[in-house]
Amino acid sequence: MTNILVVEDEKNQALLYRNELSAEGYSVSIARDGREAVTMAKLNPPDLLVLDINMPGMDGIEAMGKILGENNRIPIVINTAYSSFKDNFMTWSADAYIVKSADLTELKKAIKEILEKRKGQ
Amino acid sequence: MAMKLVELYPARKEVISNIQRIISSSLNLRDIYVSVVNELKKVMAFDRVSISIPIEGDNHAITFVASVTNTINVLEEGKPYPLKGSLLERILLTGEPIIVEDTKSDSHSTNGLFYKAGIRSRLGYPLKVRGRVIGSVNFSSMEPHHFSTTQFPLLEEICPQLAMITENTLLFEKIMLSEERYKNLYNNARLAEEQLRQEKEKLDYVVDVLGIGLCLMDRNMNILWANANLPKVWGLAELPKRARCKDVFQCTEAYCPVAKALEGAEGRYREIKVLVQDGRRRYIENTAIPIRDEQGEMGRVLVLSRDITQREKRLRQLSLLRELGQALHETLHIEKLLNLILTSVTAGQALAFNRAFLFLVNEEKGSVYGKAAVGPSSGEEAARIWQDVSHRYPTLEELLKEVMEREPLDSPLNVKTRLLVYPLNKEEEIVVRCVKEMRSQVVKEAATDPRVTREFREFLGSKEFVCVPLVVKGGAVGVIVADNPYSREPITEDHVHLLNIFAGQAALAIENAETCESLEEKIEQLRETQERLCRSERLVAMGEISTYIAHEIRNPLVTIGGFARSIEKTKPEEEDVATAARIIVEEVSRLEKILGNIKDFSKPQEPRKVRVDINTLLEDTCCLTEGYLRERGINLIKNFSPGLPPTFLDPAQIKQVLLNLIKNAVESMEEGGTLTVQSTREEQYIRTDISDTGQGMAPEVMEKIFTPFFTTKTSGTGVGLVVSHKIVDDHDGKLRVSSVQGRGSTFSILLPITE
Repeated sequence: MTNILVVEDEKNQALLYRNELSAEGYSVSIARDGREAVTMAKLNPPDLLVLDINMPGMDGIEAMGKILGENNRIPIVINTAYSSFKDNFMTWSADAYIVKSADLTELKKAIKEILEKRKGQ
Repeated sequence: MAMKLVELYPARKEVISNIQRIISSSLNLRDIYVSVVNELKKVMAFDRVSISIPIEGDNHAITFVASVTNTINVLEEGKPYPLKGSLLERILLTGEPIIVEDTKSDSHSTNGLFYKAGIRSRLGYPLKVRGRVIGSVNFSSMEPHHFSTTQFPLLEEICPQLAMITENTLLFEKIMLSEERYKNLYNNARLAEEQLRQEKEKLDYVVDVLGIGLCLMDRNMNILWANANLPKVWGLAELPKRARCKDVFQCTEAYCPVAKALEGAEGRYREIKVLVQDGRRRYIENTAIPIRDEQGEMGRVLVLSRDITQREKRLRQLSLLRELGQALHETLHIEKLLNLILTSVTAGQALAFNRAFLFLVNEEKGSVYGKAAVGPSSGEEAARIWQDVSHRYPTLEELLKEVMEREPLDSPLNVKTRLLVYPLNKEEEIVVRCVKEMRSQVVKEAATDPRVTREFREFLGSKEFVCVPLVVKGGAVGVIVADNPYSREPITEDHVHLLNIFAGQAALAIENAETCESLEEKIEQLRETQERLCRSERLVAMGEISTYIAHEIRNPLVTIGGFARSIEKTKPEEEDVATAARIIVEEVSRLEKILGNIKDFSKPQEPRKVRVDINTLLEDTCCLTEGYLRERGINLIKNFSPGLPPTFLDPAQIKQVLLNLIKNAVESMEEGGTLTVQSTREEQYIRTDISDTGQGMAPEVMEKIFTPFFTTKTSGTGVGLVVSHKIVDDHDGKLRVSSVQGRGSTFSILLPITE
């Protein structure tokens, strides 16, 4: 089963992602901040990372750096309320950049495409 | 011993006739003296005889000739002796003969001397010419009481003869003497004349060289004599016969230096006359010097005429240049200044060319371009404008003032000139050549002159023209081209010289104005930058707030909306729940749309690519890092190839790349070393190499350096090279790396050359 690690500090939103992505047939684990995400990714490297950027503690970009530093093969989808990070050089190494929306269609579509692409490689 | 007179009578007659014969034989008494005395001895006994005469205008007398011995064969002439108390004095006074009976007892002053010489008695007889006593003849004897009045009749007959010959001799000697003097005088005069002639020759030469006309006038202003220069100076073919002052000097003025000179006072009297000849003004200076005539009166005047047109011209030109120079420094407004310069070249009161064209050098673009032109487009326009201009602006000052206040007019000539652009490497163009050589170019025959291209010839359309460079600090900033196609006045050396001097002043003024303008531009840029900064600061602050709010609202909205959708998807059986969920979904997406419309102000601006000289950018960057490098003991070598073509890039971004690469290089040289920044051209790219003498990289490290978040450093995000790569990519360039472990690395940025 495909393992997705969602990094999201808002509890209710994290629950939404877990419900919705599980419904899509993924195994979903949640990290509450960057540090937790780094540890979890290390212990159990996921097949894909959904990453919020603005988080207390270690933010998403820093976490991304650390995780990719360990294993740069994990695909990353940035999922953020800010559109501005799209122009940040730091986010270029992400595989997708999604602006958060109540409509999760775009997120799901991106995840599906990335995973299919990876499978093909 | 005395002879009886009667006995002597026949002898006397003979002697008298003998003496007359002797006397008439010569004019010199000395020659005949001995003969005369010998004759006398026949009829009269004496031991010595002498002739004394007074010295003219003196209180002395002289023994003119004397027999010293008894034989009378030795002659002597005495020294002057005081007349006072002498026998001669007495004779001169009385005109009567005197007998001294005995020198021993007589009181005459000379007797003492005679007595000593053994003379005891004397007889003095006057020598008269036309009743005037000229001297005396004196007989002396060793015996006292030797002479008596009985001898007087004989002497009466002889003495007039003697007197005559004495007088003649004296006169003759006088004449001889004056002739001698005259001869000397004559010789001296000859010498003086020769010197005078030489001096005159010299003077003539000088007069000739200076082109001075000379003439001598008498009291009635008739010209007595004139040199060959005079008619030349006055532009006459030749001097009329018996010319008078007015025939030459064309007097109209009330002041006449000749008349002044004739009034008598010594000195020099000057005037300057303006002569218009062949349409040109000539200035002639006349100097009248009074001189004395033979009678010693101031009856003659020497007049010197000198053509001082050149000098006047120089003076006028100097003051003109000063005036123009002042005008040029009155404005720093470049357009007005250029207009002023061109007007100065064309104004009749100034340099008086028909047309003037200004070309300026654009260093950045490497070209010379037509900037402005002043002048009429046709002969008719020329005539109209000139008439108009001279009518409206009588003085140069007013004309220049008018130009300053007037907006530049866009004449057809001006427009045509502005279309001309020549690259600085097109040296066959005379304008470019003028810039390069920094020397004026005078073209006399445009049709055949190899320096003139067909294009330029057709543009200008004139046969003769001049190009003068505007040189400042050893470089030409532009060129003035001037010509006279309408008046067809030839361009003389003088014109070119004047234009050259003026161009020097103009160049300085342009440079000043340009400096001022670029300063104003800089200030304007600074002001704009500051404004932009303020604005962006405000925008950033606003953007930060709005994005923060958007984010804070968006997150709960995602959750609300997300769950509402979840509810909707479960297709609740209760209609109310389904409706409520649908409403929530709708309202949330409406809110999200609104949030999406909030402009993200914190977004960085699009990269701004501009034309940049890479070397300047490198220099700027190196400048920024110099302190940083010095601190770390790193030697910086800059090796920039000159003359690289400009590239089109975002200087801020490329600078970021350079700084990034330099920082990496420095960090690889912990022990210090050498950093080399080098620029070269590589085909259609400009290549910048940043080389260090650091530790270098292992091949496996080199593979990963452009991977995000890869770093060998303890601190750092590992995105620097990724970012650099991305930026260079955005510029359609290449970022290359080569490294030898333990020797150092070289990063090369290749940026395409865009035309």
